[in-house]
Amino acid sequence: VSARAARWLVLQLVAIAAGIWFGVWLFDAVTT
Amino acid sequence: VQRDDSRGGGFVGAGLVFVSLALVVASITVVFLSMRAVMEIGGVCAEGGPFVPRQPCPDGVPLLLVGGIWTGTIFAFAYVWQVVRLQVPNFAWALWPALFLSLGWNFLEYGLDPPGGEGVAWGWLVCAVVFFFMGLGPLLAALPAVWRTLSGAAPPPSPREAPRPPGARAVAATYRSIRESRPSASTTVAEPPAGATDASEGEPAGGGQPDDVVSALERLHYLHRTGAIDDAEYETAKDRILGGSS
Repeated sequence: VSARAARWLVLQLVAIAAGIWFGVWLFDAVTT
Repeated sequence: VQRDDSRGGGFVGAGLVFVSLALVVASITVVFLSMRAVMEIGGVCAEGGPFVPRQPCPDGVPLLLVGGIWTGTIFAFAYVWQVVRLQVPNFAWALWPALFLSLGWNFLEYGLDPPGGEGVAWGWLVCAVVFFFMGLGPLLAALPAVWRTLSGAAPPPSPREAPRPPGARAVAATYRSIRESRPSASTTVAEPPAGATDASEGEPAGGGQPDDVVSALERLHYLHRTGAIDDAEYETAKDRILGGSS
């Protein structure tokens, strides 16, 4: 994996983690 | 064409990829949790309408379900558009499997242990099987390509395998003659367009069909316009294609 590809993959893994966190937060905020 | 993502435009692209992927994942998460909330109360609920619903939905869940589906769909397209535009390794292959496998997990979990506690809910287990097949099929089909992309094991299909456009031989022969006429040309003349590299040796440049000549001129014009060849080379090559004397 090149350095460029690794940077993009790390960025997207962080986005996935942020998305899961935001989804759980949003669900809790709306339903409670 | 590799785009440079180290400059300002790269930050915009990276930001769009980040936001769109995060919103897709958030949408799948919201749909996953909303589905569980509905299954907790038996799997069916209703709101609105002229009748008093027997089983009202949990607060906010209808909004989250509808909003999550629409948001996820829209930003999934935006995400795929960005990663294709930027030609970066991505997780587009995982979105569909993530949605169907996570929802299939809900069907499996609540099918084996329904909220009412009356044994096994076969209807939900059938849904679980269907969703697992829908999620696993594309995933298994995509895995070889994903592995190639991440490992760089195999290059993408060669342009030589693509059908050669008309006129490519004439352009390639002309290009070669220009390159051979200039000792230092290999460092100053760009590679010819894809499909124009495998012309047979010694074929007359200007002897093609009229369509070939037009295509050759168009491609020559492209080389000239992009700066791959200078004015003199352009004129020489054009004369060759047209069967001129110079």
